[in-house]
Amino acid sequence: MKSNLVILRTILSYNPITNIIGLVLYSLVAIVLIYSIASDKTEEVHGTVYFMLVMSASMIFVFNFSEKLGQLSKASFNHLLPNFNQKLIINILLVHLVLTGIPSILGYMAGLATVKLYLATNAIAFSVLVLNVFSVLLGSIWFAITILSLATEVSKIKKIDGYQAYQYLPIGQESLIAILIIFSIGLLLTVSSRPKNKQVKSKKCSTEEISVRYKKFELMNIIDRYWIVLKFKIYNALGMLKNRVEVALLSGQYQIITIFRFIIGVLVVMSLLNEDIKSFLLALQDGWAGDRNPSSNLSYNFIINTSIVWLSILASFDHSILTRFRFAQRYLWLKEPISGFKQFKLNYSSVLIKKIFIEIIATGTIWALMVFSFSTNTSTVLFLMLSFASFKAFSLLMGFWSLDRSHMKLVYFLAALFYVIYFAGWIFIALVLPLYGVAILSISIIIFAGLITRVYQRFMREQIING
Amino acid sequence: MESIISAKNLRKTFKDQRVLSDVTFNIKKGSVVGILGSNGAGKTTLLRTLVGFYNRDGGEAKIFNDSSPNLSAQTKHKIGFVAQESELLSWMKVKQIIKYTKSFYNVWDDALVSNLLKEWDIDSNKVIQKLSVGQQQKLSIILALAHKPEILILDEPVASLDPLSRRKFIKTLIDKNLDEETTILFSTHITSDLERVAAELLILKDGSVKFQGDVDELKETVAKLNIRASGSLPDDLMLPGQISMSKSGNVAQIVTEELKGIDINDLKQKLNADISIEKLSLEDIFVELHS
Repeated sequence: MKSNLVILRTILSYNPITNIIGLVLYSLVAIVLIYSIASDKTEEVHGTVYFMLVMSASMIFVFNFSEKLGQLSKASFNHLLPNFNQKLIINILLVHLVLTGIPSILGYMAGLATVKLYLATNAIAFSVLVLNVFSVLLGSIWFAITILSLATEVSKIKKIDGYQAYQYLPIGQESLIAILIIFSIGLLLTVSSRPKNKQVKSKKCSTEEISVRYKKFELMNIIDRYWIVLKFKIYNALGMLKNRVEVALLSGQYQIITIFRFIIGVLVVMSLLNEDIKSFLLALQDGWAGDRNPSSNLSYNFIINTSIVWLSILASFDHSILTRFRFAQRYLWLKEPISGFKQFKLNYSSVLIKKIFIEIIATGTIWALMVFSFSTNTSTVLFLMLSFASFKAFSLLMGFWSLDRSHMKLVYFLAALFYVIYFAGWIFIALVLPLYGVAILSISIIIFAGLITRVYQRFMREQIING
Repeated sequence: MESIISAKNLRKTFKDQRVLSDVTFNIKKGSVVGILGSNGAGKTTLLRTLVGFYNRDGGEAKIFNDSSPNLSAQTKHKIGFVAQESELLSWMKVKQIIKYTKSFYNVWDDALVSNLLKEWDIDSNKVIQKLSVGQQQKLSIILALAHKPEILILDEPVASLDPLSRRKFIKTLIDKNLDEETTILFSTHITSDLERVAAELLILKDGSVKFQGDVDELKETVAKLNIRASGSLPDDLMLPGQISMSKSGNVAQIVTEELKGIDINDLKQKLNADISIEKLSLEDIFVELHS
């Protein structure tokens, strides 16, 4: 097989159903995007919105492809194949061209943007793609930060006359774009020669030393371990580890939740100290109230961005706690002196429910503080609080469901698809009158709660001790 | 002697793939039983179903009269289990996980733990994540032995160990079996280890028990017959329990799994041939049974 497309063909044939659903989803987003831009004559910055949404939509595929590309790039075996490295680079560039390059060229040709905006969009999307191939976690964080930061900048452009995006930085926009492109190209070259470098470094090591060395220099492993050890020590010192389940629950997948908790912590602190975040939250408030307030700066893209961040935080927590819970069950099954399978599960489900409630109270309080800080309108406060409850319930439902189906890839993908559909529905609710919104959200919470109970029962009955 | 592990018509299916079909066996107290089978024969599934990590789809699996997965606390305390891939809390130090695991059990042999740590050269201040795969496996074995279980269930416990550690481990197993009458059930691919330790064998093939009995009994049953006839051998030559045959003119090699059912003298006369019986190694028997 001498074709340069061999890598993409392999990925596409790996999971055709997922790719077909992704294609349909991508097309739908593209149609909605074009329609909404064409029909919205009042939006002053519709070019920016178009390009941000092009980038967001292309990420549907990027997150699908990048994991596989990353796996292929890590496998030493592949690097023994002739011209694999060049093919990898060509395929990554092709993915970018198809997903972001072509739609953004169309937008540019339609007069929706300047050359600078076109370059910026492509530079950011390309950096997200390459960083994702390098590490899905780092890519996701970079994507979230970029979207959040761009949303803040757009908010400021709208509010402050003559404001230039990122004008507070010591370097200009052109330099920023150039740095991003150079960084992405450098990373692309690193990714394409990753296993080769490892082989050179570990030339004189024994097999065991190699495995230790790789573990040693994995940044995420170091962060993970120190974080969990620190937590273990603090909890121990405070006497919070009263039972052995708590210790086992510290283990498992904790990377994502650690980082997202860090981000939310930073956001909360910054919101108290930083004007940019305040203006972002005000813009968010404007977006919700915009339909009823003629003087407001209507910014639905802010709602979208914040909601994506919130959904990510909630979903990552739920997934993390459920996965850790399952790991703890498996780990403790033969050790815990509890007779019978049902009793064992009952015992642990109470720990799970307690954990989830604590998390709901903690994140709910932060959300409530944010909402109350920026709104005095009771119906808006009620609406936002119900939105949070609805997001949380939906996130839990998806978490239970994906674990209940034993981490099936298709289920993960469908869960992501349902998130998008749910999210679109939520935006629709946000656009209708608050009274209807409150009613619809209340009903949806009741429905979700019922579904959660049902899925939870099944989850507990399933052979979840099996990993 | 009483049977403390048993399975009767045990079935387990993953989606549409049947991994265990009507597995039936009994293991008596104090036995050492090695499970042998090719990749995908169902060894891991069988062990995990026995200890309750998987629900069974049919039949029965019992340990100390408790039906899996509903094992009582007392029964669980009598089981030491080592999984194929060591599942440890990797962020802990060795001494922390020892302390943690110890908190689950009423009985704990500190002397055994420190001896094995020393013997297997495991630093108790080291973080588990930084141990090699083999060392993690050794640590899992130590944790499974420390609470003095009456039953040890081990899923390919020596796969990651070097030959020296394997021998030490096998010696530990034999000592435990002899001194404390520990019942040991383990799966492995390494037939030489099985010959060294296993008094009894359980051969799984395509999810069913192909053989259960002593290694010596198996060697008495499965053997190769070297036949040299004075004339040509009949085309339809077929012996009871015949597994394989290679024939060339008046010479043939036949492997049978029913050697006891064949009257060699009678066969000699019938074929007018010299027949010698060649004993096979366990590895050869395994290959023949799976050919």
